[in-house]
Amino acid sequence: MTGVDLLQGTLDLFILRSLTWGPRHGYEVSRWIRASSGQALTVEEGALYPALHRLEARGLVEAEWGVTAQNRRAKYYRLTRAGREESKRLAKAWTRYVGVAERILDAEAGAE
Amino acid sequence: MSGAPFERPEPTRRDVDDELALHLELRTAELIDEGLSPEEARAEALRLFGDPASRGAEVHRIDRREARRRRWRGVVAEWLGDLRHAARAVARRPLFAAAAVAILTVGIGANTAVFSLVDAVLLDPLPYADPDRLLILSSADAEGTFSVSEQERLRYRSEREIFSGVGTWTFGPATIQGDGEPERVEAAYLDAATFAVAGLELVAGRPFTEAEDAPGTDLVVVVTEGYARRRLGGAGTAVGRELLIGGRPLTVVGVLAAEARLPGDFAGPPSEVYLPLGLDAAAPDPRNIHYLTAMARLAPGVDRAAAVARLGIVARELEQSIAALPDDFRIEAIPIREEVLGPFRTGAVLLLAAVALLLLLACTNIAGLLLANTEARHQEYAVRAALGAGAGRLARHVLAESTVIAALGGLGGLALGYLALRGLVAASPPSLPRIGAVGMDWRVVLFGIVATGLAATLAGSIPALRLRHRDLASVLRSDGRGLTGGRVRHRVRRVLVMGEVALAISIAAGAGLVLMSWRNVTSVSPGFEIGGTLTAQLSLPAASYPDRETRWRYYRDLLARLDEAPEVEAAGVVSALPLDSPAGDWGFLIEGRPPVPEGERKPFADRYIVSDGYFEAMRVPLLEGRTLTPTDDAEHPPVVMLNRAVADRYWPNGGALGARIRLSTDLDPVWREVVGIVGDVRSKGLEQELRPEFYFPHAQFPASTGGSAFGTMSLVVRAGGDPSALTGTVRAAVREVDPTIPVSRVQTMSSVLESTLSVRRFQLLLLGFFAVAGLGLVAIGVYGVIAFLVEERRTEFGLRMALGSNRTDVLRLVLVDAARLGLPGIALGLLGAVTVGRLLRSTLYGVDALEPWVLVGVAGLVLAVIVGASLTPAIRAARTDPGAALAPE
Repeated sequence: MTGVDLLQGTLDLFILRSLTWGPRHGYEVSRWIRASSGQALTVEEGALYPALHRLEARGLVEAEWGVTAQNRRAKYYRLTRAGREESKRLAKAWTRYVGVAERILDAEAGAE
Repeated sequence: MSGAPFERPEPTRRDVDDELALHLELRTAELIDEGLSPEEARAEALRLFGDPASRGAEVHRIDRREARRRRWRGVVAEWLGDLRHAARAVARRPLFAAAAVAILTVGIGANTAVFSLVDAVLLDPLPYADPDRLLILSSADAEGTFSVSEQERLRYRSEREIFSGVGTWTFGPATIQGDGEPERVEAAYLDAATFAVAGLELVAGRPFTEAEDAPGTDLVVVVTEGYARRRLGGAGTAVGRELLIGGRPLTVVGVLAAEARLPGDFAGPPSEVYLPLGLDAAAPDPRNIHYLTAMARLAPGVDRAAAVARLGIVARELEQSIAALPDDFRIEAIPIREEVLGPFRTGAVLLLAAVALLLLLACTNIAGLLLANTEARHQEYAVRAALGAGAGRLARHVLAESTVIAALGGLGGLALGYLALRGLVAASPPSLPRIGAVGMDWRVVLFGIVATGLAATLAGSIPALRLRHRDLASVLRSDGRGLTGGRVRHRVRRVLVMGEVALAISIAAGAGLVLMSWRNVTSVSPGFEIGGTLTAQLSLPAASYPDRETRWRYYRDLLARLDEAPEVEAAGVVSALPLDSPAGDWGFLIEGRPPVPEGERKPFADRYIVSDGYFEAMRVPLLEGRTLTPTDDAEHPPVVMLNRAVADRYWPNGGALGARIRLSTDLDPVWREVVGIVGDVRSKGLEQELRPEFYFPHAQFPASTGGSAFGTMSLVVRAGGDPSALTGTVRAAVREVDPTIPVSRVQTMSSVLESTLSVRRFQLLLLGFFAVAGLGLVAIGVYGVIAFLVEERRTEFGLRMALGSNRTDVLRLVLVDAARLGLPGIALGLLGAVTVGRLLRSTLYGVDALEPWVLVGVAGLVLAVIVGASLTPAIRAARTDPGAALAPE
C-alpha cells in the first residue's frame, strides 16, 4: 500500500477530530481516520491506542465502558471541553502550516 | 464538601486486552466482508495492527502512570481540603483560635529565645584547640582559691611528665598614645607559651616568641582583629606597625582572630592588646605574690586524675620550699570548660527546664482547649459520622485543626522569639560570656519548627484518640444535654488542669524566691552613700610617672583642682573601687602581741590605698578618731585607718584606736598608728560578707609595692546635685593637669551598683516572665474547663433554681467546683516548688529555699487566679433562666 507517512503529532489531531461528532470506541476512530483519508495513511493501527490513552491521561478525552450495537463490551471515548479546544487549536495550526507550505512550494524562481 | 474526588477503579491489563481484542475482531470481520478468508483476514488484521502484546503493555504502562499521578493529586487535594476546612473551622471560633495561638506563641517564642541564648553561651565550642585537655591551675587553701605566683609558675612549667605546656597571663589596662587623645584599653600580659598551649588562632602575622618574652626584649605586641580594624586599618595592614604603649614603642607582630580569647576574658570588654608578660625565669619574684592565671595542657596519655595526683605532691614540695605559702596549700586543676562556663551551667539548665515546662504547659493547655472544643462539637461530629465519615477521617479533621493552630502559633512564636531574644540580649548582664554572639540561626528555627510540630501532634492526638473511642451513635440518640457529662471526659480535663496548676506553681514559687532575694539584696546598705557620686579610672604611664613621688604629686594636683570647682563637694582617690574592683588581703602584726603560733592564720585585712577626701566623697561614716588629712604624708608619722570589722575582730574589747600595726611583709616595715575607725563597706558586693579592711594614706605608701597598680587609681567625686553633670568638670581637670593621661570608665556610683546586680535582675526578669506566662496559661486553661462545665450543667442549674436555689448558691457551687479543680494541682505544685527552690538555692539571698511565705503566697495567688478565671462562667451560671434551661429545644 502506498501512502503518506503520518507526521509527528497529527495522530492526536485526527483522533480528536474523529470524536467531534460524538463518542466512539477505538475501532470506530480507526475506521473514521482510514475512511476520511481515502485509505491514504499508512500507520500501524495499534499505534492508535497508546495515543488514545495518553489523550485520556491529559484530560483531553474521557472514556467510559459501554456496549456496541452487537452487544460487545467496548471502551467509548468522548471529547472533554479541553479536548474540544485542543482540537480547534491543532486544526487551526495545521491549516496555517499547510498554507505556508503550499506558498513555499508554489513560489516561482526569483520571487522576492 | 471539598476534598475527595470520585473514586476511579484501578486500571487493569484485562481492560486493555479487551479493548485491543475488539479492534482485531472487528477488523477481521471487515476484511472477511471484503472477501478474504477468515485465516487470511485474521493474519491481515494482525499485520495492520502490529504486535498486540507490546502495544497492550505500552498502553497499560500509560494507564498505570496516570493512575499514580491521580492518586497523589487526590491525597494532596484531600489534605488541602482538610486544611481549608480546618482553617474555616478555626476562623468560626475566633476567641478559641486567638487563645490557642497566643498560648503557642508564648510557649514557642520563649523556647526559641532561651534556646538561642543557651546555645550561644553554653553550646558553642570554646576557641581552643582540643579544649578537653586544658586545665586551669589555681592555688588554694582552706579559705578558697587564688592566683598563681611566679615561683609556682616555674614549677608547673617544669612538670613535663603531666603537662605538655603551661601558659600564664594576667590582665590589666594599657595606655596607647597616638596622634590624638591617649586611649586606655584592656590588655592581657601573657607569656609566649600561652599561644601554643591554648591554640589561639591568628589571622595575620605570628605570636611573639620566648625570646621576645624575656625582660628587656619585650618590645612586641599582638593585637586583636577588633583593635586592628578599629585603629590600624584592618588585620592586613596592622603587622609591622608601631604602637606607643605605656610610653614604649612596640611593634605589632600578629593579629589575633576575632573569636580567640583567654579564659576570664569572655565576659565584659575583652582585652584588645596582648603584651609579653616579660618574666625573668632566672629570678622569680621572691615575695611570691599571687597574680597570674595558669592554663596547662595535659601531656599525651595523661588524664586529669593522674595530673591531680601529681599536683598533690607538687603542692607539698612547694609548701616546703616557699615560706610564704600556708600549711594547707593545695593546687586545683579545673577543666577549662567548667572554668569558663561552670558558673552559668546551673542557670542555663534551670532556664531550659523552665521553658520546657512552659512549652509543656502550653501543649496541655492547647490539648485542653481542643478537647473542650471537640466536646462542644460532638453533635456535629456525630452527624458527620452518621453521614459516613469514618473515625479516622474525623480524627484527621481534628489533627488538621491542630496543625492550622500550631502553624499560626509557630509563626507567632518565631516572631516573638526573635523579639524576646533581642530583649534578653539587651537586658543581659555583661558578665554573661559570649552574649554578643547570640543570634537566631537555622538550628534555632529548626528547633522552633520541631517544637511546633510536637505541640500540634500532642495537642491533636488526645482529642483525636478520644473521638475514636466514642460511641458516636449514642451521642446522637441522646440530645447531648444530659444532666452531667461523662466521667472519663472530666477526668482527662481535670488531669490537664492539675498539671497546668502544678507547673505554674513551681515556676511562680521560683520567681517568688528570686524576688525576695532581690528585695533582700537591694535593701542591704553598702556602707556608703551611692547617690551623688561620680567615679572614673585613671592610669599613669610608668614612663612619665616612674615613682611614688611623681604619682602622688599628680593625684594631689588633680584633687586640688577638683576641690576648687564649686560643684564638687568632695573628691578622693582609691586603689580599688568598692563594688567594682577587688582589693587583695594582706597579713599584719599588732604591736605588743605575741607572734601568732605556726599554723594559725595571722591577722589580715583587705588593703585600700586612699587619699584624704575619699571617706568624705563616699560618705563612709567615721566612727572613732579622725579622718585622713593632707598632712598624713611622708613627712609626718605613719598612720592607718581601720574599718569596724577589723577593730571588732582583733580588738574585741576595744582599744583599736591608738594601737600600732604593720604589714607582715617587709614592703612597708613601719609601725603605723590607728588614727581612725570607719564604718564597714560592702566592697565586694552587697551580698558578700563584711570584710576586714584597712586604709593606707596614698601619700605615705611606697610605690614600689605592687608595681604599676598604684599608677591606676579610681577617682571618686561627690556632687551637690546630679553626679553625671560632673563628667565635664572631671575631664577638664584631668586634661589641665596632664593631657596625656586617659580617663576611662566614667560612671556614677549608682551605675556601678547596677552592674553588680545585673545577673540577679536578669534572673528575676526571666523567672518573672515565666511566672506571668504560666499563670496566664492557668487562667486560660481553667476558664476553658469551667466555661464548658457550666454550659454542660445548664439544665442542672435550671433545675436547682426551679427547686429553690438562689443565684448565690449556684455561684458558690461553680466557684467551689473550680477551687476543687485546682486543689490537687496546688498540692502537686508545692512539691514541685520545693524542687525548684533547691535548684535555686545557690542564688538565693536571705530567704530559705522552703520559705513558707513564698509557698503560701504562691498557692494563694494561683487559687485566686483559678477562682478569678471561673468568675465569668460562674456569673453566667447564676444568671441561668430556669424556664429556658428546662424547656425542650
